[in-house]
Amino acid sequence: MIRLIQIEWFKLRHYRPFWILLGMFVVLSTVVCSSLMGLMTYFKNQGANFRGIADPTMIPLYDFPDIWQNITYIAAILKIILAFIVVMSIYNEINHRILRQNVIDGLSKEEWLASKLIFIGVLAAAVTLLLFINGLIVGRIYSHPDALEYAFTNLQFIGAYFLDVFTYMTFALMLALLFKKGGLVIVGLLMYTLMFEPILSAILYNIPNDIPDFLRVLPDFFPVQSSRNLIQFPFARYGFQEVQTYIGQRELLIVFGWFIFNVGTSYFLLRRRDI
Amino acid sequence: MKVLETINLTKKYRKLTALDQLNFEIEEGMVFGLLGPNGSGKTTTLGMLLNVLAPTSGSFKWFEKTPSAASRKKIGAILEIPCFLPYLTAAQNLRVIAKVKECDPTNIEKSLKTVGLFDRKDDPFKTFSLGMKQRLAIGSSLLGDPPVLILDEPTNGLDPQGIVEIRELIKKIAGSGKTIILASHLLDEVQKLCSDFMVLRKGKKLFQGSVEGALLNERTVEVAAKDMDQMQTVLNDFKGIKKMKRENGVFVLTTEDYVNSSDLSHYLFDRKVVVTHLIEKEGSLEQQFLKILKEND
Repeated sequence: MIRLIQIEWFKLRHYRPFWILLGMFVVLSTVVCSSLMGLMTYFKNQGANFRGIADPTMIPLYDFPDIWQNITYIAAILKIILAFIVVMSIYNEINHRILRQNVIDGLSKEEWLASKLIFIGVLAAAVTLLLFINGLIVGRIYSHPDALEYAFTNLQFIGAYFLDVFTYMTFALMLALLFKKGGLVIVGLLMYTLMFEPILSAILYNIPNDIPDFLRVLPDFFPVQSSRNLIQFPFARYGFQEVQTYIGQRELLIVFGWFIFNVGTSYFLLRRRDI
Repeated sequence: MKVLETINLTKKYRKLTALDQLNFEIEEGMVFGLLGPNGSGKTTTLGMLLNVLAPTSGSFKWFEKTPSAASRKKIGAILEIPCFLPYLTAAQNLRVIAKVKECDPTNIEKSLKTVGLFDRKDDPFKTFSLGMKQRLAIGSSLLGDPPVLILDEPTNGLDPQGIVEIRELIKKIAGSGKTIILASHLLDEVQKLCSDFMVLRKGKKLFQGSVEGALLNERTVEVAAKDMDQMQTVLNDFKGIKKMKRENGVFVLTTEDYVNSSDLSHYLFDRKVVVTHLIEKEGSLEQQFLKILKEND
C-alpha cells in the first residue's frame, strides 16, 4: 500500500499540470465557500430584494448547521476540476506508455488500478478536509453566536460531499481508460456534466404529465444527477420552504452503484485490453 | 534451467494471425536472437511474454512457473521505444521503476554508471538524445540486477556510433552471465551478439539453432594462383571440398568442417602451386537467413 502511494507520488510530484489544477481548485473552493457574504453585500448595495428580505446580508447562509448543506451544495460543481486532474494523470501515463512499462517492470494491473484509486481517495479526502476547515472558519466568523454549538451538527453533508467527489473522480477514471484520449475526455466530461445531463434532467423532471413514470425518475440514475441528489438544493429554506436536510437512502445506494460500476468497468477494461 | 518455454503461443487480431502456434525454449545463459523482418511477430511475442498483450491461445512459463508480476520483476525489459515520463529526470524516472520492481534505490546509481548517464542523472528525460534515451532504457532494465534481459530493437534509430556503444554495452552485460533475449531485424547484430537464434516470418517459426552452427555451414575459403588452370586440376583431387566455383578471379570453396586453411595451403604447396591469394571467410548469418527464407517460400 505504501509502495503504491509512493509510486503515484513520485509520478505526480513534478507534474506541473497537477499542481496548477490543484492550486486552482484550492483557490476556487476557498473563494466559493467564503464569498457568499460578499455576494450578499453586493446584492444589498444593488438594492436587491429577496421576497421581502430587504437586507440580503441578513440571510443566515453561514449559520451552523445550515452552512454545511449550503457550502457542500455550491462547492460540488468544482469537482469537475478534480476530474480533470484524474483524466490528465491517466492520459499522461497511457500517452507515455508508463502503464505498459510499469506492467512490464512487475506491477500487476490490479496494483496499478489500486494506486490510482488510492490517489483519488486521498485527493477526495484532502478536498473534503479543506471544505470542512473553510466551513469552520467562515462559520466561526459569520455564524450567529447562538448557533456555534451546532458547528458539528449535520456533518453528513461533508460525508456526502466526499462520496460525491470520490465517485465522480472514478467516473473520470473509467472514461479516461475507455477513450484513452485526454482532450476528448476532458471536453466531453465538461459538456456532459454542465450541459447535456442537466438539460436532459431538467426536461425529464419538469415535463407535464404525459410521459411514463420511469422516464420521470430516470435522471435519478444519471451519473452526475445521482450524486447531485445526495445534497438537495438548500436555499429554498430562505424562502420559507421545506428543505430535505438528510441524505436519502435511495440516493446513497444509486451513488454506491455508480462507484462500483466505475471501478468495475475500469478493472474490466484493464484486464481485457492489450495495453 | 529452462528460463522460458512457450506452448502453442498464438495471437490473432481479427483476421490477421500475428503469431501462429509458437513453441520455443530458452536455456539459462543463452543470448537469444529473435530474428525476422518488420511485422514478423517479434514484438507481439515479447508483448505477450511480458503480459501487456493477451494471448489468443497458448501459454508460456517463466522460470518453469506460471508467469506473474513477481516473475516479471526478475526480467528487465524494454519494448520498442524507451518509455519514461518526460518531465522527470533520469534519476527520478529510475526511482519510480525501482519502486515498481521493489529493488533497492542504491541500484539506480549503479545502473546509471553502467550505461554512462551518471553525469546526466539530474536532467529531464525530454532533453535526452535518442541514444541517451535508449541507454537509459537499458539502464532501467538493469535495475535490481535481473537474471533475464529482453531487448527489443535496442539499436533502432541510432547513429553508427550509438549503435557501437549499445552493442558494446550488450556484450558487457552478456559477459556477466545474464540470459538475454534480443529481438532485431539486423542480421549482423544478432550474429555479433547472440549464441542462439530463431527466425520468425509472418508469425511462424522458420528456424531455431545456434549461431555458431549456422555460420559454420557457410564458411568458405578463397584461393587464387598464378596458374588458375593448374590450380583447378589440383583442387579437384583435394578431399573435403563440397563446392567450388570461380568468381572474380578466385576460387570460392565451401569445405567440410574438418578442413582448415593451413591444410589447404600445405596441400597446394606440396603440389608446387604458387598461391597468390588465400583467405578463410566466416559465413554470415545473412546468407543463412536468406537461405532459410528461400527454403520456406
